[in-house]
Amino acid sequence: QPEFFSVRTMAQTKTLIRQGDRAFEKVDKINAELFTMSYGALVTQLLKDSNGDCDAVNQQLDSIGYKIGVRLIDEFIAKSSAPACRNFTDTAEVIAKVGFRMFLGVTATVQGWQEDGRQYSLILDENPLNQFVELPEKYKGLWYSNVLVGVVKGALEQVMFKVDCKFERDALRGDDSTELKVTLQEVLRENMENFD
Amino acid sequence: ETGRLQLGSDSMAVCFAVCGKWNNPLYFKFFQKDITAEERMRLQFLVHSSLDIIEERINVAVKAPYSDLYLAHLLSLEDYKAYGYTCNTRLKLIVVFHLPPPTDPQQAQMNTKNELLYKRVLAGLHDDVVQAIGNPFYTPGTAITSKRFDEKVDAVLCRQ
Repeated sequence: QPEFFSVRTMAQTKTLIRQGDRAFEKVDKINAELFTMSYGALVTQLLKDSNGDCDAVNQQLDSIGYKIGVRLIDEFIAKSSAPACRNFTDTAEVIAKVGFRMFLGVTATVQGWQEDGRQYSLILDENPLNQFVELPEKYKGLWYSNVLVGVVKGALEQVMFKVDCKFERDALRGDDSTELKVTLQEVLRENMENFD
Repeated sequence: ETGRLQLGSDSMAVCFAVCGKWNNPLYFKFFQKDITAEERMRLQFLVHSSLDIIEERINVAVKAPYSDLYLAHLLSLEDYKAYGYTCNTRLKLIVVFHLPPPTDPQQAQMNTKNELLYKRVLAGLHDDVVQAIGNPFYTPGTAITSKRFDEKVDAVLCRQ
């Protein structure tokens, strides 16, 4: 199965990259340093409030990201001309080439497909959140950009894919690249019982 | 970063200091291997006195309060010459060079050429300090312990 979608999606990927660039052109921009410094201030404040508990802060960043993701997806669908994802495998390249490009300004590479097609990794060569950041030894349990994990989870949930997402590697921790692993947990069906 | 500057082989940087707006030391590095305690004290004294010179100069230059001030040569102590750089946040950078007096006109010419280089070197170091300060885990006003900054300083000022 992995070979099948690599042939089909190679041409698609080029289109998605173009769509990503176009979407990036369309959206409003803010000063990069303002953005990265705001994020840095948020992370350090969370660390201060939790007395340096990295696990708690990772969790909080995840929750913050989730709240962002459930809202961001509508903006994404409206502003980008990316096609609807027919299945989970489509989500990978769309997030990597259009989603990340539109909101972070950088694209990611999709790698590490699992045999059953339910898990992939997003590799970020550049992470604008990391600008100027040097992680001190005492916070090495922190996934600095963990907000991205929440954003992916929140956004995909709104299009009916319940996923688990987490960092596997982070350049800030000294790893050679930054990797997010996305795993499909279940495909949600519209629950009509909720509309009582 | 384009054009990462390095000092030429004829200029020997002996120490580099970064001080905050209240002249509080943020970073101090000696480049000489096997430096004696006496020399260390002498250089620290030189840097300390240079801070006073900087204060004098910036109080005078009221006309240009918002520009980065390359202050060039501040003070000499024997063969050690201190060069300074400050900016409108009153952040101060001081590099001390070991410059024995020129033995011939060619040497003198080389020294004047180096003066221009020092300005760019200090401006580059200023950028590095700004980057180190930009780290959200760094508290402004405290010692700069960034390894990245240390490496950059070495790359520019240390020939060994």
